Amino acid sequence: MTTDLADNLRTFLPAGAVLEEPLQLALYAYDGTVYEGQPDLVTLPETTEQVMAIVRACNAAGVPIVPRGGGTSLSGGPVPVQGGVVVSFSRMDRVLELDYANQRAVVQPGVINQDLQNLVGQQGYFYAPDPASQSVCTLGGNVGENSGGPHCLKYGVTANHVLGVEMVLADGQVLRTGGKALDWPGYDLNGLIVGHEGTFGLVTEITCRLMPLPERVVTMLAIFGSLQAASQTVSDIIAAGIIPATLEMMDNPMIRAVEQALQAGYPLDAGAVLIIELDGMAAGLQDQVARVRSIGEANGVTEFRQACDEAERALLWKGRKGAFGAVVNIAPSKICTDISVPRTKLPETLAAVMDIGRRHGVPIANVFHAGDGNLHPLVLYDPRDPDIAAKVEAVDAEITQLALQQGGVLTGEHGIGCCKRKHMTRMFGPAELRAMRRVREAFDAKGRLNPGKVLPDDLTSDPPPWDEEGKKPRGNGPSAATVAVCERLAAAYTEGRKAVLRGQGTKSSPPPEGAEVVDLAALDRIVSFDHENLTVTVEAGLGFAALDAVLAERGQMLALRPRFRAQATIGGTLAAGESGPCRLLYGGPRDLVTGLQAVLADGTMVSFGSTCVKNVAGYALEKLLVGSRGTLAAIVEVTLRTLPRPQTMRTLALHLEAPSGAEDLLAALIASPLRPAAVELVHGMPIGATADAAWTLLVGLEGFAAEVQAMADHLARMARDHHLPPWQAVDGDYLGLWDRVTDLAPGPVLKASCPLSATAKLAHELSGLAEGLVLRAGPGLGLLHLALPPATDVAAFQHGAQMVAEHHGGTTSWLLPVPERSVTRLPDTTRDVVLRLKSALDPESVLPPPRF
Amino acid sequence: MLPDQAFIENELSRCNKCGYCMQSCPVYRAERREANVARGRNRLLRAVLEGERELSREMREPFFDCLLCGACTNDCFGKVRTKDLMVRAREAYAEDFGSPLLRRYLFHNLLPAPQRLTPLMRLASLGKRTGLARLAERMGLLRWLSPNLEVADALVPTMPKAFLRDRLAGMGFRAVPHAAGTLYRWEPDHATGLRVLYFIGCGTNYQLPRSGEAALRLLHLGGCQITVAPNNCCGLPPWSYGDTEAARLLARRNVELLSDLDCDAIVTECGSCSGFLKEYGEVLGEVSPDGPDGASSAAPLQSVARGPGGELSSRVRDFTEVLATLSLPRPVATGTPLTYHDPCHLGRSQGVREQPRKLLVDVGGYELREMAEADRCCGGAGSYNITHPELSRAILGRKLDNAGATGAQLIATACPACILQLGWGGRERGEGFTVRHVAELLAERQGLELGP
Ligand SMILES: Cc1cc2nc3c(=O)[nH]c(=O)nc-3n(C[C@H](O)[C@H](O)[C@H](O)COP(=O)(O)OP(=O)(O)OC[C@H]3O[C@@H](n4cnc5c(N)ncnc54)[C@H](O)[C@@H]3O)c2cc1C
Ligand code: SF4
Ligand code: SF4
Repeated sequence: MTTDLADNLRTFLPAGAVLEEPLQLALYAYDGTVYEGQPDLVTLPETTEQVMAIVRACNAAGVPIVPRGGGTSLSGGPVPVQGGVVVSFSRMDRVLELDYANQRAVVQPGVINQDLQNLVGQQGYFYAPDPASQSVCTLGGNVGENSGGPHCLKYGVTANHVLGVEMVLADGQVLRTGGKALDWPGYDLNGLIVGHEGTFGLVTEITCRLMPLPERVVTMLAIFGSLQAASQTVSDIIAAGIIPATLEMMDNPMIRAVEQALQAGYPLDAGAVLIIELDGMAAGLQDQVARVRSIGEANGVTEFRQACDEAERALLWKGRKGAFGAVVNIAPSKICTDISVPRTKLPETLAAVMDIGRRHGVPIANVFHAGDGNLHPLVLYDPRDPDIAAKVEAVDAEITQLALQQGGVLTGEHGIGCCKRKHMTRMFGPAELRAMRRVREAFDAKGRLNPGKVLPDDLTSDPPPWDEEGKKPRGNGPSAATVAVCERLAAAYTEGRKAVLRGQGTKSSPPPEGAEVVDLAALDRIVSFDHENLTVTVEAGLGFAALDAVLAERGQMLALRPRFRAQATIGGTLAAGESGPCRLLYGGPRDLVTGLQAVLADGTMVSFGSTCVKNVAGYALEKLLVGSRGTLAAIVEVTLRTLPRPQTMRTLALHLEAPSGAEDLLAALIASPLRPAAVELVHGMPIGATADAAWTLLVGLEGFAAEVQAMADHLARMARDHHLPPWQAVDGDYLGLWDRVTDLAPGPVLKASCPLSATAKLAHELSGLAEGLVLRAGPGLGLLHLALPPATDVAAFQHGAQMVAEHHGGTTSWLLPVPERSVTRLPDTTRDVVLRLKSALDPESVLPPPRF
Repeated sequence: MLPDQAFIENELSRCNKCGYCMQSCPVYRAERREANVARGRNRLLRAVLEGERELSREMREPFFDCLLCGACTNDCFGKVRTKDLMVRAREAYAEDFGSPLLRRYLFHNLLPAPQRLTPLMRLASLGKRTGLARLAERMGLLRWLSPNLEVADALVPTMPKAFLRDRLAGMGFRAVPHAAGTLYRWEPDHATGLRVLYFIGCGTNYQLPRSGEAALRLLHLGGCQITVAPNNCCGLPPWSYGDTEAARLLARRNVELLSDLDCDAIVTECGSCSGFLKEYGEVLGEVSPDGPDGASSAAPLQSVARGPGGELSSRVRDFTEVLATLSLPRPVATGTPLTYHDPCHLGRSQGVREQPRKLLVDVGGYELREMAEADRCCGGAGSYNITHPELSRAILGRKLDNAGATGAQLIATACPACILQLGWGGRERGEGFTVRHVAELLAERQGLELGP
C-alpha cells in the first residue's frame, strides 16, 4: 500500500522529496521529546499545490497525515504516533513578501523564525514571538503550537501576531483566513487555528505582523536573597503599570549551575536572579528604569546591574542564555516541562515543584518567563540510568497536576501533543472535550490529520485535582442566573424552538417569531478580581461602568472601550467582538480574554481558557466564541486581563481639509517607535476648537507622564517635518471624547478593514459615498467605521463600499445589529468552515445563523 | 561493533534531540533533511549503539556527508561532539564495509612515507597525465588535494614547480643533521629569542607553498629562529575518513620526531594542521575526551598536557597566534576592502578568530568587511568537494553569496583546503573573487618577496 502511495507521490513531487527507506523514516519519528512513532512515508513538498496533491493522495489511500516544521516541539506534536505520511515543511522556506508599509510579512511555513527576524531587523522591524528555539523552529510550527517567548509578556504570543493563513484542509480544499487587513467577516478563524497542533489542516502560507523596533532597550539584572522577594518584585513592577519587554527569572539551583559553568558573577547563595528588559521611547525609559529600581530596593534587592551598551547587555544575558547548557554539569540530559499558573502563585508553585523533584530524587532547576506565570522546570537526568524514564515521567505528571491545583493550566506554550493528552480530562470536562472534538471534526471530519494528538480517545472526565483536595479554584459555581440560562436553552433545544441571546439590547436585532429570548442582563456579578494577577472574572451581563468602578478601587482598568460603552454589557461586547480605537495599544477583545464560560445551545455549560495569561491547553474555543455574535453559545462568564490605569492620558488633534494631507505623517507615525493608545481620522463629527474642519486626526496618548510627553514632543516634530500645523491639545474628559468618537452615531455601522497604508485613502473615498456619513478610520489598525445616515440604502451603500475596499485589498462587514439587507459575502471555503463550526456547536440551529 | 563505546555513549547521553544543531549545519541548511543534521546522525548512531539497528550501507550518507565542521557543537547546549562521533561511526563503517584499497594505500603507505609521496607529487606536477601521476590521480591523491575532479585537470598545470620544502634552502635555511633526519634552521636577523618549530602540512607543501613561504618569511621578519623538521602528514585526512589507525600512526610518528626538538612553539599556517595537532593528546587516547575529570566539558576541544601527545599539543600554535604577538611595522592603508573566512579548524576548533582579523588590519593595512556567517564551513572539508560535489557546491554558494554581499573582491583565509575550495567556487561562478592566505597578503604588504 505504501509503495503504491509512494509511487503516486513521486509522480508530482520533486526528485528526492519522497522518503521511504526505513532508515530515513526513522529520522522523522521524533521531535524534541522522548516520544517516537515511525511514519510510513515522509514527503518534502515545496509548494501549496504539492501539499494539496499530497493530501488528496493520502485521502485516497486512507492514511493519516502528520505535518512537521522544525521538529523542535516539546509536546510530541509532529511525532507520527499512528504512522502515516509526514509532511515536512522544511523546504517550504521562502519569504514571499515583506510589506513594511503595511507591517506585514507573508511567508511559507518552513521559514525559520530567526531567519525572518534577521531579514526584517535590518529594516528596523521585528516579529514579536521569539521562542527560545527561534533559531531552529519554523513559523508553521509556531502557528501549530501558538508559541510564546520572552517578549510575549509585552507583545503577546503567536496568536496575537498571525493575521492570516493559507491552509490545506483534510479534504484537499484550500482555506484562506485573514490577510493583510486585520478583521475579516466570519468567525475568528485565525484565533482558533493558531495552536491547532497540526490537526486542522496543513498551513502553507502565513501572514504575520511586523512591528517597528523600539527606540531603546535597557537591560537590568537584579539579584535577590529569596525567590519570594524576586516574585514580589515581578508583581509590583507589573502592578505599577510597567510592562517589561522581558522578565526572566532563575532560581537557586539554576544560579549555581550557571555560576559553575560560566562565572556570570552570581552569588551562590542568591535565591533568584531576575533579568528585566524595558524597551520603548528613549525619552520615557529612564523614568521607568528608576521605578523598577526602587521597586527592587523596596523588596530588598541585594544587587542591581544595568547595561549601558551592547557588550554589557550581552554580559547580563550571558547567564540566562547559557542556562540550558550549564545544567549539563548537573546531569547530561533534561526534559523541559511547561506549565502556567497565575503569576501570584509562582513562589508557592516553585516550592512545590522542588519538593516533587526531591521526593523522586531527580534534580530540577528553573529558568522561566516570570512575568506571565509560565514555568519550565528543567528535569535533569542521565539517560543511562535504567529506571530513569519512569521517574521522569512521574515527575512531569506531578508537575502538571500541580499546575492545575494552583489554578493553572496543563501547558503555557509547548502544547498538548501526545505528551499531555492523557491529562486533558483533568483540566476539561466531557462537555468541553466534546465541543473541542466537534470543532476539530469541522476541519477534519475523518480524523486523518495528526491523529493521537491533543484530545484523548476517551473523553470521560477524571476528577479534577482540586476536587480531590476539596477546594474549588474557580468562584462558587454557577449563579442562579446562569443556571436559568442553561435551563432555558435546554428547554428550547429539546422543544425544537429557536432562541436568541440578549444583553442590554444595544446590538440586538428583533427576535424571530416564537423564539425564546434568553436575557443575560441578570448575569451581573463580578465573580472574582485578582488584582495582583491583573485578571477579573465577571458575568456576561455586567456593564462596563459597574466593572470600572470596582477596578478603579485598585487603580486598574479594562482596556476595552467599545461602542456605547455606557450601556453595553461586557458579554455582549465580547460576543460581538467589538472594540474601540484603543485596540491599537491594548489589543482587541480576544487579546484581553483569557478564559470564558458559555452555555452551549443544548444547555450544557462549558469552560475554556483560564485565568492564566499563557495557555495553550486544548483548542482556543474561547477565541472562537469571542466575536461569534451569539450564534454558537451564550457567553455567561469571562475572565479578562486588567491593566493599571495610565498615569496620564492626553489627546492631540490636527484639523485637516482632507485625509491626504496627513498621509505622509501617518506613514511616518506608524513606522515610528511611538506607541500611541489610539490614532483615528474622524470625519463628520465636530471636535475641539475648529469644529468646522471636515477631518480631524486624533491621537490618544496614555502612559507615564514622561512617556506621554516624549511622544507628544515627537509628534510635534513630525508635524513640523511634514509642514503641518501644530497639534492642538484637546482638553477635558479624555475618555468622554474618545467614547464620543467611538460611538459615532446611532444606526447601522459598516466596518471596513484594509491594509494599514490604505486607510486614509479608503477613508477619503468612502466618505464620498453618502451625504452625512460619520466615520472614523484608524490608520494603525486599518479599520474604518462608518455610521450610515438614516434612510440610506444599506445594500447599495455596502455594495459600493465593498468595491472600494476590495480595490484597496480590504473588505467590509457590519457591526451588530446586521441590517436585514447586508450583502456581506464570505469566500466559499470560509463560509463552509463557518457553517461547519456552527453545526458543530449548535447542530439543531437553536441559535440564530451567523450573519456579518 | 563501535569503537570507543564509552566516549560515544557519553556524548550521546547529552543529545536530547532539541534540534538546535539545525541552525548552522551547512549540510542541513542546504538539504533540509533530518539525515543531514547532527540530531539525525546522532539518533542513528544511538540506534547502532543500543542494538536497535544494525550498521548498514544506508548509513553511509548520514555518517559521511558530515563536514566535521563542528558548527553543531557550537550551537548545542550539551556541546555534543558530533564530528568526533562521526569519525567513530566512519571507523565502524569502514570496519564492516571496507574502504577503497587505494585510499588505504594512500593513508597507510604514502602519507607516513614522504620519501614515496613526494616523488609522486612531483611527477604529477611535471608530467601531468603519465604513469604514476595517473595512478596518483586514481588514488584520489590529487583529488584529495584539489577541489574537484573536473578542475583537477585545470589544477595540475598550476601545481607549483617547487614545493615548500624545496624552497627552504633558497630562503636562507641551512641543513642541520639530526638523528631523525635533516632539520632546516633559519636564524633571525634580530633575535627576539622566540624559537619556532615549523610544521609543514601536505596541502601547504605540495599545493600552496607560497602561503608557507610567506608565513616563514613573516616569522623570520618578526625575529623568530625557525626550525623545520621532516614531519609527516598531521593525520587529519585519515582521521576524517574514520581511519583512526592510520591517523594515530602519523600522530605517533610526529610526536616521536617533534617531542625531542626543543622549541617555544610548534607553528603552522595551515589551520587544519594546527587544529588537529592541538588534539593529539585526545587522538592518542591520553586524555579522556570527556574532559579532565570525566565530566562533560563545554570547553573547546583541546587536549590537556598529560602524555607526550598532549605535551606536543600544548606547544602548538597557529601561525596567526604567534605572529600577532610579534611587532611588525604597520603599513599605510591599502584602501582595498577584503573579507575574512574563518576556517572551521581554526575559528571554531581553536577559537582563533581575532588574531587573523587584527593582523589583516594592523599588519596588512586592509579594510576588513565582515561577511555574514563568516565562520560557516565553505564545504571544502578535506575531499568533501569530491565526494559530495553537489552538496559542496550548494554550501559554497551560500558562502560566496555572503562574501559577495560585503562588496569586497578579496577573500582572506588561513587554511589551504578553504583556499582551494573558495578559489574553485569563485572561478566556477565566474566571479572575480581572489582568494589568498592571510600570510601571503601580509607578506606582500610587508614588502617580502615570495617565490612563484
Ligand atoms: C530548546 C528548546 C526551547 C524551546 N523554547 C520554546 C519557547 O521559548 N517557547 C515556546 O513556545 N516553545 C519553545 N520550544 C518548543 C518548540 O520550539 C515550539 O513549539 C515551536 O513552535 C515548534 O516549531 P517547529 O517548527 O519545530 O514545529 P514542529 O515541532 O515540527 O511542529 C509543531 C506542531 O505544529 C504542527 N505543524 C508544524 N508545521 C505545520 C504546518 N505547516 N501546518 C500545520 N501544522 C504544522 C506539527 O504537526 C506539530 O503539531 C522550545 C523547544 C526547544 C527544543
Ligand atoms: S546534537 Fe546537540 S543541538 Fe543537536 S539535537 Fe542533540 S543536543 Fe540538540
Ligand atoms: S559537524 Fe558540521 S556538517 Fe557535521 S553535523 Fe555538525 S554542523 Fe553539520
